This record gives sequence, structure tokens and C-alpha cells, in this order.
Amino acid sequence: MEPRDWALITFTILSHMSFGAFFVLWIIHAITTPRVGVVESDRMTNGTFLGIVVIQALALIASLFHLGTPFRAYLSVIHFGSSWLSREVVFAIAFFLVAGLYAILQWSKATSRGFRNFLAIIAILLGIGMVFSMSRIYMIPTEPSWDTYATMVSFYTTAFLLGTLLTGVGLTITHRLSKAADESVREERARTLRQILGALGIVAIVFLGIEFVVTPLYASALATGSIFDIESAKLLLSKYGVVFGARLFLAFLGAGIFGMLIYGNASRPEWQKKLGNLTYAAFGIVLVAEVMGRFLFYALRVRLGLP
Amino acid sequence: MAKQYAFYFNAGQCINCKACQSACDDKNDLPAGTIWRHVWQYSGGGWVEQDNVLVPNLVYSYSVSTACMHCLKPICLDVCPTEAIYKRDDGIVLIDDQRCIGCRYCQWACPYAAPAFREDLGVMTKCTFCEDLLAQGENPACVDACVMRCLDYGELEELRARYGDLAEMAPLPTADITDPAFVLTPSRNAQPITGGSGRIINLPEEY
Repeated sequence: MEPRDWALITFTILSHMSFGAFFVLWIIHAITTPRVGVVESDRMTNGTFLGIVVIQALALIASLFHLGTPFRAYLSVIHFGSSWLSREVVFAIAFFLVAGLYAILQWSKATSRGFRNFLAIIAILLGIGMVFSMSRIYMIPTEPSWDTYATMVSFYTTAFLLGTLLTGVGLTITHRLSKAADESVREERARTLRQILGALGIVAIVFLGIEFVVTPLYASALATGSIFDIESAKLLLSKYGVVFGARLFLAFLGAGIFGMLIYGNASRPEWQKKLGNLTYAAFGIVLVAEVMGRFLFYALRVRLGLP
Repeated sequence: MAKQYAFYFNAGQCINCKACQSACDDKNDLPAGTIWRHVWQYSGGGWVEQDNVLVPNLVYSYSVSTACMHCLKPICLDVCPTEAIYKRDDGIVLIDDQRCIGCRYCQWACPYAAPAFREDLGVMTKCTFCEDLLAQGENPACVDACVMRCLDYGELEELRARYGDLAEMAPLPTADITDPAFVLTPSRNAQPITGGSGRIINLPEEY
């Protein structure tokens, strides 16, 4: 772990979260539109879509701090034909641009809905490509602890777990800032938000489940793998054992316990405020857990070959 | 002109004097902390009890001098996002410091610890095979400095014809990853590339 690697932790976590949230939010928008009408579903999601794009912009800025010569960063797209790093940069920028265009058009209601949905699908495909290229960057023979499909699974899981909770945070903030004069409209909006938060709670639990299947499998694969993998496993269980344990506990608390509370109480109007606060807390806790997980990812490196 | 320049190293003769490394640092004016030519000292063995006396058992130590291997399949070149790394017709792999952005991906990918980040320049640097000296008909600085005459260079095919085609020995990685332009005469204590009984004992000074 070098100080510069924190730029990579920031970049990867933020960009995964941005893609995951865009995907989840677009699906929520698509599902709620026929139920509450397009005006209402747009109102609910516009702000969060813009926020997601801002997060991707922050991710791209963070990535520059990893470079020795950041003002030449534009050159990094040149080797698209061979380097996964070039592909990552191209996909990350393209996702930012298309998602940004979509968010702005949604906000301003410019162009047709069909065209906007087309843009959203393109953005989602670019996001999938971005997370795919990012995982492939790390899957190189000289870094045995990274050179596994667990890298790819964990990157996508981070994207959807954090993206789901970020979506809940965005929708809650939007709801709390909105002012509806009519009591019945307020009631209706609150009910819709509760239903969505409940659904997001259960989705978060599903992705936590995937993480809780993959992480032990990965750890045991390391422990029974090559001599390099075994060194990584030793680091995981001794030097970084506390971080590893805390990371699993926090993920379980945030996505598991809080997700369950949100899901279980989504139908109770008196829990309205609590549901929002639980969503904030779940997001914060899981974000810390995922940052710890990504820290471990870099810290467990045991190089094949000369050090 | 050579088709593929290569280094030759005889581990049986090396005494870990590091004259090659000093000559490299000097010729290339490298700052402290930037190392292009490493001399790894690999050691193993221990003590066993015989008749209430501890005696050394299978103790060995040998050294390997490595720089950029100017590989036939340079993985650094494949992963470099800016095409700053290129391979010349004579096989020498170079980094264009006007194109490098200092992302350090080549450092992750290279199994020989060849690319070295220059904090002061913000770019990656590495062994150039002293291509400027070669152009003047001179030898690479490390080769000329080698006191024990265990370091040499030449055309890969000729070196392989003379010394064989071994390029692996602990602590070096498998040659399959990058096909290094490197010919090795192993130490008599040479350990296999995986599961060797020793370890590199001079890491603090080489890293």
C-alpha cells in the first residue's frame, strides 16, 4: 500500500457506485413511471441522476492523483487495442458523458422520452464495460491475489451494493427537500418512497449475500492456492485480520441488519422518518465496509517474481 | 545490427559486489531510491542439532543481477496505456519519457521489477541497455564494471548457443510470462522458481 493507492481506492469505489446507482435508479424510474406517472417519477429521480454524474466526475478527478504526470492524462486512451487501462479510461469517460447528457436531458425534458431511455441504456452498457475493464486491469499474472474472477465479481458487487443504497439516499434527500402543498399528495409520495426503500433494502440484502458467498470462497482459494496466494491469505488472517473482520461485520450490519429493518417496516407510515435515516446509516456503514474491502484488495498483493 | 540484444549472467561467479549496480547508477545519474540494476541475494539453510551441538545444515547463498530483460513478449508494453513503451528492431525495450504519464501499471505487470518510478520526474524509467554506449561501439556500463566477469551481453541466439537457454532460477519468475532476453548459468545451489527453500535477504537495500 502506498499513499498514491488511495487515489485508486477513491476512483474505483466512486465510479463503481456511480454506475451501480445509475443502473438501479433507471430501473426504479422505469418501474414507477406506469404507477405514478412520468411527471412524478421524473421529479423523484432527476436530482439523484445529476448527483450520480457528479460522483463519477469526482471519481475521474481522483484518478488523476494516481498519476506521476497528470497533465498528460489524455494520452492514456491511446493503447485501447491492447491495454485494459486505456479501455477503462475510455469507458469511464464515455459513461460520464452519456450519463451526464441523460441526466441533463431528463432535468430539462429536452428530446423525446424514447431517445432519453436509449441514452440511459447506452450509459448502462458503458458502465458495465467500465467495471469489466477495471477488473481486467488487475487480472495480470504477476499479481496472483488479483488474477482471479473474484476480482470481477467483487467489483460488480460493490457497484450494485453501494449503488442500491446510494439510490435510496438520493431519493430520500429528494423527498425531504420537496414541498407539496397538498396533504394527500404528500401522503402518496411518502408511501411510494417507503415502497421503493423497502425494495432497495431487499436488493441490498441479496448483494450482501453474494458478497458473503464470494468473500469466504476467495479467502479459502487463497489459503489453498499457490505459494503467493498462501502469503496473501496469511496477511488477510494475521496482519489485516482485524480489518477483514470489521469489514465483514460492517457490511453485515449496514446491508443485512439495516436492510432487513428497512424492508420489514416499509409498510408502516409511522416509520417514514426512520426508514430514511436507516437508509443514510446503511449507506454510510456499507461505504466504510467497501472502502476497507478495497484497502485489503491492494494490501494483500504478493507479487509473483521479483518484488 | 543485432536482432535481439540480451544479457548473460553467471550466478556461479557473482560475489554480490554490486559494481554493476553502482556503474548503472553512475552512468545513468540515478537518484537514491531509483534502481535499474538489482543484485538480489538469495539465501537458505539452517541449523540442525547433532549430539547436542547445533551445526549449519545446507546453508547456501547466491546472487542474481537483473535489470530490464528486454523481453521478447514485453508485458509492460502490452499494458502501457499511452504506448510510451516500445521495442526497437534490435530488441531493446525503451520508455518514451515524453509520453509516460507515471501510472505505474508497467511496474505492476513486470515480473522482473524493472520499471522504476522517478518521483522527481513523475515518469517511469528503466534500463536502456546503454543504447547510447552501444551506438558508439562500447559495452553497457554494468558489463564493463563486472569485477568477476559474470555479466555479459550479446545477440540472444549466440548467447543461447554458447550457454544454453536457461532463464529461470529462484528468485526469478517463470520465463513463460514474458520470454526474457536473458541467458543464465545457474548457481550450483540454484533453487526452483517455486518452492525454493530460501528467500531474498537483501530486500531493504534493493527496494
